[in-house]
Amino acid sequence: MLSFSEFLMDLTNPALAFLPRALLVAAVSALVCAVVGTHVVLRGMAFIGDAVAHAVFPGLAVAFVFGGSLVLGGAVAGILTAVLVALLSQNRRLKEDSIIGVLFVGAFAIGVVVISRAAGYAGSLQDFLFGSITGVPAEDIPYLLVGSVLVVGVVSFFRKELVAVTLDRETARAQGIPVLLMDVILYASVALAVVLAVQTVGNVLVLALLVTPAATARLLVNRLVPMMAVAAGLSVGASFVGIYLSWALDLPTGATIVCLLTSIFALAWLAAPRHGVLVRLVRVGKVRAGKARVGKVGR
Amino acid sequence: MHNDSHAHHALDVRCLNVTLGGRHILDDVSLHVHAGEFVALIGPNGAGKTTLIRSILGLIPHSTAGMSAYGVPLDARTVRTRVGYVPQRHEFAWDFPITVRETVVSGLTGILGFGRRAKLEHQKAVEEAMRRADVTHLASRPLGELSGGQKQRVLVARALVLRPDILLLDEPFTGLDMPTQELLNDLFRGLAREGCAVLMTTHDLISALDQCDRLYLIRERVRAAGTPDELREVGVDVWMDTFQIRETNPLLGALGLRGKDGKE
Repeated sequence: MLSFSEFLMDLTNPALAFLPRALLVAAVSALVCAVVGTHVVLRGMAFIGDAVAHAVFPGLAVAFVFGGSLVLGGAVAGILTAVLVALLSQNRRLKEDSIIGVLFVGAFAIGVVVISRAAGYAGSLQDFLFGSITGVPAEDIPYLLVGSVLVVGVVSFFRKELVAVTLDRETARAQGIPVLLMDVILYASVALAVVLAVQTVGNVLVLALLVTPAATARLLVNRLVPMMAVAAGLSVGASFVGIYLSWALDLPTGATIVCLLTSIFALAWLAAPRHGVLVRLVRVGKVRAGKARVGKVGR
Repeated sequence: MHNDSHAHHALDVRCLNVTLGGRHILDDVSLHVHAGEFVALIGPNGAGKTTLIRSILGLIPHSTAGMSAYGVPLDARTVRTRVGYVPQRHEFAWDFPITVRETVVSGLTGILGFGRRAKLEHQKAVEEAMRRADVTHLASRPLGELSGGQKQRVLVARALVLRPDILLLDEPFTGLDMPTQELLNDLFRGLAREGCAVLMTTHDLISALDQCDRLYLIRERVRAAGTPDELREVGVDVWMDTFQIRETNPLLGALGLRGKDGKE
């Protein structure tokens, strides 16, 4: 196995320029996904996140087939999707999850059909679905960075309103907050975050970057901004280690990162200081022991 | 505070009709609340109490026969600046990672506007609202660690942060213990005494008859309205019809309503 210092040397090797690029893109997209994903997790809209992630695919496929920029193609498809999801989910009496489920798996299928027309279809399809360490061309980097700043900026600027809508939609509406616009903004941010991450992590696995770090952070902290920071820190760390392992052991990049994130989640779920399973078990044990003692004394 | 407050009702709803999904929920409902009054809406489940509150807030499409606050039409801007709303407790995302103080501050979101943060004058309103609802000592506690009564007081503080002229409360007492109910009743009456118009829905009829200035019996229509004493005299039939209960229901006796044969 490649040692860590050899990995650092490879990072500076000009012949392997894609490697630091992959690292940069993975870290930046992990950070953006963690920040947006915090809102996704708190609003309990992981399914909508999944839908948007899948619906980005036809845009990527069209851009790929016609040789356009994948980032722009995905962004256009993603934002269209975001508006559509927001409109569909306004009617709360309708079971919107079914509609979203039907529509966006359909969109995904269209993407697969479109990309099957391209030459070298099998390889590119696999890259789209599962990501690739060589995935990001150098000319996409500026778009990715601008996109990242934009998404984090927008989510921060509207944080107060996004929080108010999550806390209580009806009161937010009575307060005069444009609830529909806030939904569109959040869903569009999800779509853009997905587009940023999709080339390294892949379309199927990108949901993990949105949900897992934020869910882990929720187990560890009790405030919004610290939750975003913890989620981003975990996610960036896992991306870095994931790319190292992927390079050293020739493992698929996206899957390695997601496996790491999932392990961290499992660890937090078991051992979180206040809400973890272990702590709860110990607490129950102590109470039982205490009761037993009291019982003995009483007798 | 308002020169015209005695010429106009603080809150005036005229001939409100609401139909949802083809079902008639409210039929020609008219009601008013004076400044300084504490008024209860009572009626069985599905009577349209919550729908009435939500209509006043402009959350439900309705025939705009006429709603006004202190003589001005009750449009979105008036609602945003002058009406405080306390939703039912289960409508709120209590698992959100946020402190009590931040929750109260978030009551200002609508009036602050995009990209603006609470200023000093707002902070004063936040402190005052928390003090009135008796949650100051909980200010830095996360929402997830509150009891039911504490949660209800946080929601009230969140509504008070706007210093509303009109306060709408949807079942504020449901599931609360007696000390919390007493504290909230004192608070609502105190707000009314200072000139606020307070309108709440409740299922706690005994407490409502004891504490409120006037009550509306509602089931699709206004079945009766008046002071507690007036409502005790309207006849047991009206109560039985509104709540769809039998003459033998112990509730009627507990409310001190006379049966048909004149017995208590």
